[in-house]
Amino acid sequence: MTTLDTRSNPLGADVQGGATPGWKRYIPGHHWRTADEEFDACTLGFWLFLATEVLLFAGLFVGYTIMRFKFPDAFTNGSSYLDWRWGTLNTVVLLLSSYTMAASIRAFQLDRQKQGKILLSATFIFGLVFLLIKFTFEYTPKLSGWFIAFDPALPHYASLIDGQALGGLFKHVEGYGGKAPGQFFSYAFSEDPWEPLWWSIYYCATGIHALHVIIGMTLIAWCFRRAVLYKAYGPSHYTMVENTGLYWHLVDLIWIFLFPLLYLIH
Amino acid sequence: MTTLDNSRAHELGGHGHHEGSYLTPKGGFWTTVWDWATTVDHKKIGVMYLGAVLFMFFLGGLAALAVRTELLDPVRTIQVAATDAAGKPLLDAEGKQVMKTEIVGQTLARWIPPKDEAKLGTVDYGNQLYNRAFTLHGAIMVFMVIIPSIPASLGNFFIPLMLGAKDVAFPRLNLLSWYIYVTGSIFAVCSILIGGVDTGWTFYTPYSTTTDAEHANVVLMVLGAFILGFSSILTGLNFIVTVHKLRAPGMGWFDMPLFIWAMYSTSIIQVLATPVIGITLLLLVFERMFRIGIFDPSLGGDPVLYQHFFWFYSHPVVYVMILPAFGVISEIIPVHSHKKIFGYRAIAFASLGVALVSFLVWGHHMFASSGELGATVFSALTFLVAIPTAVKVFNWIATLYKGSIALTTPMLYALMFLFLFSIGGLTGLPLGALATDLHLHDSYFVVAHFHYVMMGGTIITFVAGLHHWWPKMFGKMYNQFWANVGAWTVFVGFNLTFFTQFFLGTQGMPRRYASYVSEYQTLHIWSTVGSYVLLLGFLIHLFVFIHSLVAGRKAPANPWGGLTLEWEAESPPIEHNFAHEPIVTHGPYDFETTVPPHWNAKDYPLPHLPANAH
Amino acid sequence: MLKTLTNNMTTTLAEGPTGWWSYGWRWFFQNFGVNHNAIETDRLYMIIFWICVGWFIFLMAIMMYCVVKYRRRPGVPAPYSPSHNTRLELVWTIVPCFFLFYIFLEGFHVYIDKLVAPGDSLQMTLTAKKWDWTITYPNGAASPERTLIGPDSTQFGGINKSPAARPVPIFYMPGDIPVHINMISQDVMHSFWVPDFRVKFDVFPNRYTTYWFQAKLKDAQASNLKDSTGKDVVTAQGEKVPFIDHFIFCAEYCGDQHSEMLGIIRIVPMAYYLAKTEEWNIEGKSPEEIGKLVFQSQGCSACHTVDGSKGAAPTWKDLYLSHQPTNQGSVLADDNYIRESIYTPQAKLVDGYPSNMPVYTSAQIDERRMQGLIAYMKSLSKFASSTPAPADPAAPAPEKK
Ligand code: HEA
Ligand code: HEA
Ligand code: HEC
Ligand code: CUA
Ligand SMILES: [Cu+2]
Repeated sequence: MTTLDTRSNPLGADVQGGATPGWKRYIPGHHWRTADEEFDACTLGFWLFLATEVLLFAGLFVGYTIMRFKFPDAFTNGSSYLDWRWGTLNTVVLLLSSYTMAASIRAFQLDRQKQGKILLSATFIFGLVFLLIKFTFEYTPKLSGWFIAFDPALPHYASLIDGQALGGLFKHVEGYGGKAPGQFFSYAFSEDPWEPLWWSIYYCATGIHALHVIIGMTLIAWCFRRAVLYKAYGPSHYTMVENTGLYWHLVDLIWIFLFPLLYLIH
Repeated sequence: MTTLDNSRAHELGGHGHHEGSYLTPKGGFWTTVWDWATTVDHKKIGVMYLGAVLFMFFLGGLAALAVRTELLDPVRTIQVAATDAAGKPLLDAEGKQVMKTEIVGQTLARWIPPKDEAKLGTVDYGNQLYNRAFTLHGAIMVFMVIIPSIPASLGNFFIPLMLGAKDVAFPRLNLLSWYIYVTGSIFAVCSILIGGVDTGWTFYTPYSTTTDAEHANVVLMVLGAFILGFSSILTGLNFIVTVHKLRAPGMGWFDMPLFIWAMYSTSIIQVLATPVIGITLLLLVFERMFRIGIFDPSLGGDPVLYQHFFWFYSHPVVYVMILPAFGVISEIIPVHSHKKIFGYRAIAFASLGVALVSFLVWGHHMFASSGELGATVFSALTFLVAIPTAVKVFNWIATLYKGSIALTTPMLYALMFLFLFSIGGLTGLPLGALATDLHLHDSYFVVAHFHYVMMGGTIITFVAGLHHWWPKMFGKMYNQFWANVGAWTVFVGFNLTFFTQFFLGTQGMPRRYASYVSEYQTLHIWSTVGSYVLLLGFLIHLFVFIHSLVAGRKAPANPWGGLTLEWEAESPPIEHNFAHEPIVTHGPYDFETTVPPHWNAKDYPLPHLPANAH
Repeated sequence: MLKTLTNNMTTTLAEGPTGWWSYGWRWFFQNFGVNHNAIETDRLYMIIFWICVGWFIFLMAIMMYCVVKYRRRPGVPAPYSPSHNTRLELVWTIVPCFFLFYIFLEGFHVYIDKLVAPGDSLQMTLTAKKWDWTITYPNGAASPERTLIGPDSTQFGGINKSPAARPVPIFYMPGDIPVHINMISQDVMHSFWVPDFRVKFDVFPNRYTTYWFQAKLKDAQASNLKDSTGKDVVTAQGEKVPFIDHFIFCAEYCGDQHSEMLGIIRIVPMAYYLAKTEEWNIEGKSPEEIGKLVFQSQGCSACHTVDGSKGAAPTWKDLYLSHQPTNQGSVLADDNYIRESIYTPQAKLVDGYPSNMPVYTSAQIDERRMQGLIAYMKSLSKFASSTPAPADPAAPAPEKK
């Protein structure tokens, strides 16, 4: 009773295709008096966990603030290489995903299984879109200098373009690559000696945030799987989607802070 | 007296009395191993933590002995007669003895010869070994021993029992945090195996980002500490929720044992401070791997920023180390003197108060580097944090008044704690005072201070708690006489080792010195001798415990007459802790009005209460 | 050395420590009253000490009393006593506050003294690097004097002259006048600590920190001291100079030789200090003399020798225009090679030596000093005066010609 395997399927004995949906068969852990208490405890625990996440990012924000205070010019200068349009697009994507996440929890609470699952997958896809934008349109050009032809930032550099690939689908901007953090920074036209520092902060903050997006997506996928296989969530039991949702909102919230701090410095 | 309302217990459907103890093997050897490896029982996890922590303590202790042995004799060169392979003295053409120069005092270098012949007998090589030894010692003791010691082993085992719960709130998370702990420790051990780390446990930049640049040891060690942080966060989070949600019926916040209060405060600090060190260590790893520059002055970063980040965690963490000890003392003293604790609420609030103020004093580690305004504020707050601690000491001593004091091993240790911790805490005052700290900072005075609080405070209390709860955990008594002999040996050895270091510090001996000018040698010799006595003391304890496990008398359920709920359970407890869910009808320290569980009024006479009592 | 100092100082000090608190200062401090701030620090320390001892004994006495008086007697219950007493608890919360507040105030007070240098002080700069200190005097000179110190347990309290001990710099400082030092590090953090002054401040690579002190010489009557080699310090005219030595320790962990990063501050009369710094002033000196001064003052002598004996680094004897076996092949040690070896030592590494030669910047070794060093190396080399060595870099170094 007290080893892992007995608890690995809290949904009861007959798993697949059982007539009763998983959430109805849910039994709380043996040390809880009621399922409600367990739910409260999980939520409390999760809020505490979110607090630790906030504090983790707080460290980054403090670092950001101090460095920006010390080198304001490097920060405005560095920020000018970020395209606020990609940033805004990503903000919108994440906001939408937050909405679908919340709606999906609601759907499960009302036992609308199908709607819930669709909304969950929508959230996942939004997450994916966010990452795609981040990696293909922001990280890759900055690190290699190769832009996709329809990148809205490209016209700025039209005069500097020095190469094309795949029939003009990709364009190489001279000297734009090399905006790596710290010591790897090798951008030829850097205007500020402290710009490498700005890029360090940029990559650390957005990179760690992206990692959180990935973790959030994994949780969502896991929820989705359980919803499909066991109908695990319903009106009386939805702890895991609820907490995944909380996590996702936090990831969103952190981006809401990062976006103006990184993209909108003037 | 009853704490068990049997009618209600039945209604709740207790499992009856035939359940075996949690220690009963589940089958053959491998079945049992598997059972332990996958257990979510907080008691087994507590025992697993205990084993891991004691093992790490042993490793850290060995490193400490290496440090002390090296300091026995400072590096110097002497002229010795050269000998040939057969050991005969070599003579030169004129028949005089050939003399050669030899570096002595490098004990570690002689034990661990360098791979590279050219380094043999160089001062640098000996120093490198020493620097690795003290870093290893500090890092192991802090991250792998003292932070998890009381919370993760005794806390895991006893929080649910004391709350009357069947388990912690998230049992699987609990097991996970043990595995994370082991993983982190393995990282650290790997880093030692591939060459060790010479940064000091504080990993100050820019030294830590530049040393051994081409090797991964520092990265591994820092990652290890980072991973251990997660384990600590998860444990703390688990405990907070457990305390909130799993108290037995009838147990209000102020009916909780003070150990629980202490653990609760500790957990708050763990949850709030550890993420900050997490991001700091992560940035340090990035710094080493990518030179991102946040702490690197040549790229515009700031090493002092690192110190701020580091101490923002590491100061609160010293209270993560000491608050659980306070909790244990608050249990031991009332039980072994059959006396209600004095000023329950004051102690409970002092725990919380210390937890909160501890977040505001980190700058006192940086008086020699930070600006005057900051330093002044931090100094003032440092003194503020001493007050709740002083209040607790007064309360414990007041509890002894008109008690019925038995000098059992746990009690003996608790009294030693009062002695040693007071010294440790009081020597924090000249460190907190700005003018004196500028002299004492980074000297052996600091080393002595923190060993008095960490070793004399926490480790001593850990051992005290172990003796207090040993019968409950393993169902066996131990030999009190030899345990007391061990305790006295540790006490003598400890003071010999570390009291001398106060004088070294005020006289100017800097810390982290592989060798020193000869003025300091006498005191260093005493200190080293003391550390061997300490080893002897701990070995005595080790044998007492092994003897107890192998041949100990069976322990009664409540050997000391405690009133907290864990003494209601069997020794060792059954798998679900209690046969019936306990319902709390008396306070944890009502020794004057309650006959403890498993005792009767004849063996445990209650005092005549005066009319105006309570 | 501390021991030697102490004996002299304490017996000759005009005013010893007085006051109730001063009892026992000798347990903690080797000497007393090197300067005003040190006196104040010791006083504060001892006051805190006695306050703590008072509290400690008070509490331990109660504890022991209880343990003896109320020890357990079988069958006898612990008598009832209240477990709460608001008035008592208030008292023991508030009374310590007064003590703590007093300690804080005093600490702050003396701290400000330690922080703020008087306006008329002598300005100097200090650079720290692994693992050496350099102090530059107001006239731009740096002290070339070094002495061997290190652990030596054979001669208790004595000074070590053994070959493995490191030569550490001696900084001459005038007594009875405030000295103000601006400190910067070239690599990692260090911390400048003179225990006798009871002050340390960290030295950072990215910003200046300051250190100031005023050391007593007049009242201390230290003229009967010997220097670390057992000799008197004498003027050019042969007069004995009164002086007092103080240790410098590096108090911030900085790597392998952190524990060897020592130095000595030698307090001497103003006149002698001026004479010394003038002697080391590079103005009006020949390049060769300048080179020799730099060799000693910048710490080259810690690793390099000039007499051909094997040290931690290649000897400078016969180095100039010789062929050096390096990891880039054999190299002719001409002016440019030497220059490169000093500003970017990692460029070519001499075989058989570690790569720990520190980088020197043009701020430390300016053009004049660089020329001086080269001239000095020239003067040490047998190749310099005769014809240059064969130009073929692959050829083995011409051992005998
Ligand atoms: C268990 C851990 C622990 C605890 C509890 C403490 C407790 C305290 N510490 Fe300590 N400290 C460390 C662990 C701890 N410390 C470590 C590890 C370091 C060094 C880290 C490193 O650099 O490697 C350090 C370093 C350190 C410094 C920095 C020194 C330096 O490097 O320059 C300072 C400075 O203020 C300080 C102060 C204090 C104070 C004021 C307390 C107070 O909380 C103490 C309060 C207790 C008492 C006051 C005694 C009990 C009370 C009485 C007996 C009643 C009578 C009292 C009065 C009337 C006041 N500590
Ligand atoms: C919990 C914390 C802790 C503990 C317990 C200890 C314990 C000891 N420490 Fe440690 N120490 C630190 C934390 C701790 N230390 C830290 C943080 C530093 C700073 C590092 C740095 O500068 O970076 C330090 C630094 C430090 C130094 C200074 C090094 C320097 O600055 O150059 C010295 C020197 O004497 C020292 C000595 C000792 C000794 C002799 C012990 C002894 O008490 C050890 C005794 C233990 C044993 C001998 C092991 C015996 C155990 C068993 C046999 C197992 C069985 C046990 C049971 C059954 C109970 N320590
Ligand atoms: C910490 C030790 C150390 C110090 C201090 C030091 N050096 Fe060196 N030096 C070395 C080592 C080791 C080498 C050989 C490896 C190399 O070529 O870098 C070396 C090589 C050299 C060489 C090339 C020698 C050759 O044989 O080719 C020159 C020139 C030199 N140092 C000059 C200086 C000067 C000038 C100073 C002081 C201003 C100085 N060094 C201080 C360690 C040191
Ligand atoms: Cu320089 Cu330690
Ligand atoms: Cu602290």
